[in-house]
Amino acid sequence: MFYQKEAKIVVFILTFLAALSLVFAAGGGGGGGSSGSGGSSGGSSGGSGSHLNNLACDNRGVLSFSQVPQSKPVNITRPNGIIFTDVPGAWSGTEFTSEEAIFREAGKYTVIDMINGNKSVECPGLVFSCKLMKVELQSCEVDSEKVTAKFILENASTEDIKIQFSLPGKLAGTTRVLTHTQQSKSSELNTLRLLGSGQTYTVEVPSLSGAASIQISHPQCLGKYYRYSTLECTGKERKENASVKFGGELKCGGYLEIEDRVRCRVHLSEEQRSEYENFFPEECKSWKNQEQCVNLYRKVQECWEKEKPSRIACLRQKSGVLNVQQQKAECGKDQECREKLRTDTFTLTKLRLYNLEEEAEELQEEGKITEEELVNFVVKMEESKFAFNQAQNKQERKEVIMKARQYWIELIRKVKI
Amino acid sequence: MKIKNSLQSSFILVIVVFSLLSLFLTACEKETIPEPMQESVNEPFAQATDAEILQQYPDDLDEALEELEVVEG
Repeated sequence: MFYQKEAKIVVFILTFLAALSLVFAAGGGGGGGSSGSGGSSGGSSGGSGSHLNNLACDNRGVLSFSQVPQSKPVNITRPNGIIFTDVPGAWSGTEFTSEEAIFREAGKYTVIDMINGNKSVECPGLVFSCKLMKVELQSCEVDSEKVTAKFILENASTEDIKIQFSLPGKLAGTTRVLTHTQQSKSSELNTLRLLGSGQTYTVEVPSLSGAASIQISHPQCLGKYYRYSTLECTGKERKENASVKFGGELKCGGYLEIEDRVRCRVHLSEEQRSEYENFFPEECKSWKNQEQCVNLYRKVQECWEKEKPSRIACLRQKSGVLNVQQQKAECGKDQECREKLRTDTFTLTKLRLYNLEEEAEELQEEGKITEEELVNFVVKMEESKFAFNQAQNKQERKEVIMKARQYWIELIRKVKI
Repeated sequence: MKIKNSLQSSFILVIVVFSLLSLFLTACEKETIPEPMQESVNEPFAQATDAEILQQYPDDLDEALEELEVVEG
């Protein structure tokens, strides 16, 4: 009798505990800020692969998520309950990323999804966005003692900007760039002083003479909204002639340093890359006939869409170098013909280097190398092409090619699988 | 009999207390988020020879050197 009673108690306790653990288990699995859509009872998935997840929101005012099926337009409920319809942004496969500075207030935002159920995410509030920042150089005066430049800066801190001066280089036609950022500064800019507050600032560099121009940019905004400004530095008397140029018109090609121009292009979307200003190839900067150079690069654009063996064949066809040995024999003693073949062969060599840049880009897209490794490699290839153009004889040209090969090998050593 | 009964009751009580305690501890235990696994970065060509690398990732620059030799020879 006693044992029957005792058994009942034990069964009751076990049942109670089992029920309690079920309650806890159900509670533990509900992470991710999910708030069910009214109506559908627990049916957050509408079919196989159907989902709404990876909700994220950052301090640039960007909200992103992964969704299958895509619900277009994207509608999101703000913290105040008002629905933001047709949120501007871009889809990349199943991933949606809103434009910057859209979700400025901190708080809970809910993505409306009739199939998977609504989901919410906490946004930290806007801290900085390239879209909102503005930099405008107003003047740059040089005299025998100092350089003084005035500029307006909105929605950004002076601690985050990059100030650069370009000066004539040692070799004719070349320039050198002095850079000042919070983290690093050229020794010649050690005396640089930044004065002002609010939105108007003055940058002063005593003992810097010969500055040809000044550029102020934001390193975080490379390839995004082109937030930079450039101005020629002049004496007082020519001050009126200098006109400010904005990144919006110069695009990636306006940055003073090759690393920035390359990095800017790497950050661009596929459509933006084909824009003329962005497309302007580095090598064309050193050509006398820049239009001819751009046309050449445009002509070979379609070759990059082909796979490797046919890609090189395509480059051969576009540059007019099919069989050098045979073509040389056909030229015979015709010097003009030989000279053209020589020039075309040089062009093909540089296109081969450009091909390595494209291949490196593909490696980066596959996640095998980092963006930093890609940028460094592209810069080296561009410098190689420049060196190839500067080379005075066959030996020097060969050395440039061998060096480029070493850069390629160094890059491949870093490939991760 | 009385002693036996009280012993059995105490035994049940101990089980209940322990069960509740373990349940409480399980519930209160912080959700342990597994640390992101150290990404096993495999660099298969780090130690490869130049020739091995060029075999796997040809740079097509041999052709460029040959062509240069022809047009400048």
